[in-house]
Amino acid sequence: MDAIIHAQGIRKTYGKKIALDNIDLTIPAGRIVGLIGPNGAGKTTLLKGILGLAQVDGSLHVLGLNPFTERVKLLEDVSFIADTAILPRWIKVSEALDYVEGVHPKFSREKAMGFLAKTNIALNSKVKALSKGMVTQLHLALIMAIDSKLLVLDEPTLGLDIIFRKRFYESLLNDYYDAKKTIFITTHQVEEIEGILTDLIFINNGKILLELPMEDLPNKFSELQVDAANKEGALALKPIHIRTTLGGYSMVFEDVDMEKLQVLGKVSTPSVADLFVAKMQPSTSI
Amino acid sequence: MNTTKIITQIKRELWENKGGFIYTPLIITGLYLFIGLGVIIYFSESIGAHHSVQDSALKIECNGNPCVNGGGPELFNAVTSVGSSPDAFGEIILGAMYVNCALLSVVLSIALTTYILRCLFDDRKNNEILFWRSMPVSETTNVLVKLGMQLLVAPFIVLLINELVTVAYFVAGLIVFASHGVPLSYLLASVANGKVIYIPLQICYENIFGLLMLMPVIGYFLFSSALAKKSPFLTSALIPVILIIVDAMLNKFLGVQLGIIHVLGWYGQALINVKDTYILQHALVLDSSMLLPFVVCISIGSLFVSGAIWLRNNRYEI
Repeated sequence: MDAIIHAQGIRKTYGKKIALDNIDLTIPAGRIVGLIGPNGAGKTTLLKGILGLAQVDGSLHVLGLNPFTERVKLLEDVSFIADTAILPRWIKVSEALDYVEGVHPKFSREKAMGFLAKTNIALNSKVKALSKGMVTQLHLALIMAIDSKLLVLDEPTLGLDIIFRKRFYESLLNDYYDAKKTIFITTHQVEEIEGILTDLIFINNGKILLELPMEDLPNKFSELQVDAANKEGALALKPIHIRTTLGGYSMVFEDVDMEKLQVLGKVSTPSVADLFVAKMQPSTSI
Repeated sequence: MNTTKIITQIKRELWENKGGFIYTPLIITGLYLFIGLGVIIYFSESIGAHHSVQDSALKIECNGNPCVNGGGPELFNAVTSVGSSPDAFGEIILGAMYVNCALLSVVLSIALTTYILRCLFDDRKNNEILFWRSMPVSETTNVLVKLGMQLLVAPFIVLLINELVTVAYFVAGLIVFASHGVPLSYLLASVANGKVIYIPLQICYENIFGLLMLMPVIGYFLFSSALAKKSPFLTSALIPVILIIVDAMLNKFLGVQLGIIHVLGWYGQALINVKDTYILQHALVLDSSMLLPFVVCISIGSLFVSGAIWLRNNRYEI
């Protein structure tokens, strides 16, 4: 299957600060990819490069197009929500629908009206009169009504309460996603999205630390709950992260045979959040 | 360029700036009509003058008694003139339309200057640009539509409002003058030459031409709007002021001329020539002597507009 995003040697600097440091990335079609990293890791810079909002060095192609020089053509097949608060505050809901319908060849007004029918948003309301959650619902309705091949979401649920966040991801999965679409999400709220991801990317200091299909995660990473008696035996297997727990230790291992771990304690697959901490803050000793 | 996209972009500009493009001109015109028609009604009630045609001559009576011709309230004189001169009614309507046009010119100059200075700045300041950039609309289309709002949409709004004023004063005038005995044939003959319709069209054409001569200024303001990081008004004002000061100082102390003041002087003179020899003369054909200034103005303006497009595509990351 052709890659939706193909990046080689991507580099971006702001003065002396290296925002993206020789990133290689390949995203196949039909995946839901989570790009996770701490603040200042380079997530938004990478997204800006993918969306043609910023020029980057290196080879970057999205749907076979150069996102910076062929942005308009790209945007007929790529939609994005960069920030939930960016809908123009002066615009009415009906005007927003008219606008997107007028400029986007793949927008379906019927679909958008269908999404809006599930909300309390009135067509003659201005965006400034809507709550933050309703603005997100409106923006999502507009974007999901576009039959795009790639949807990019940059912290789409920032500042929303848990009800709206859950509804957001439910809508995304139930009403939008199919095997032909690719979704690329950045978020801090790792635990919310790990259930829907097919692929995981960790980024920090402008470098990709991990790029892994979720189905391979149990084979590659293991979390061991070990007591003090087996601590030394576990440490000998070189965990990538250790933390103290009540009554023992929790250690994360990469590419270690599970049979060796099972004799030392209870083995499980680490959550994406625990894995994220392990990769971002490796600690190999207590 | 996709026509539907352009029309949608124009709609967007009108939705976003309906205050300056639609409400303000309509309010000004509405006030003008209200006051004007109110004055006509007030004076027509108080005069009581009446014209009648007897023996092929107009006789004028004031409340049943002979009136003194040439004296008395203005409306009495107007009614007299209208009754005796076939073109007078049409000229009164055009005069009312010209007054409204002058009012609109003043108001729209301010509104359009504010618009063109802010139109490429505001969406960057409040991050709305992230939404607009998520749509498949190029910055070339975006900038050219904003330019088109100045050069074409605003003059057509003025045209529509002028025609509205013309119709309003025509209807009001018909009622007032006819009720004072001026024959309808006089009134209709006055507008039969069509001037009340084509003069607003001519004004629209002259407005567009005048705006094209102002392309260096309009283009510069668009460029400043795209360039500014904090205040497009300050950016647009500071650069020419600094250049003029530098030119003057270099000339005074070193005898070196950058030519900035000379160029600005030439441009100002070109604008005055265009006003005197073309617009005020209602010439519809460009004189050969004005061709070069016209082309230069379009070229300089286009350079600034191209610069604005380049800045939007390359200069600032979002």
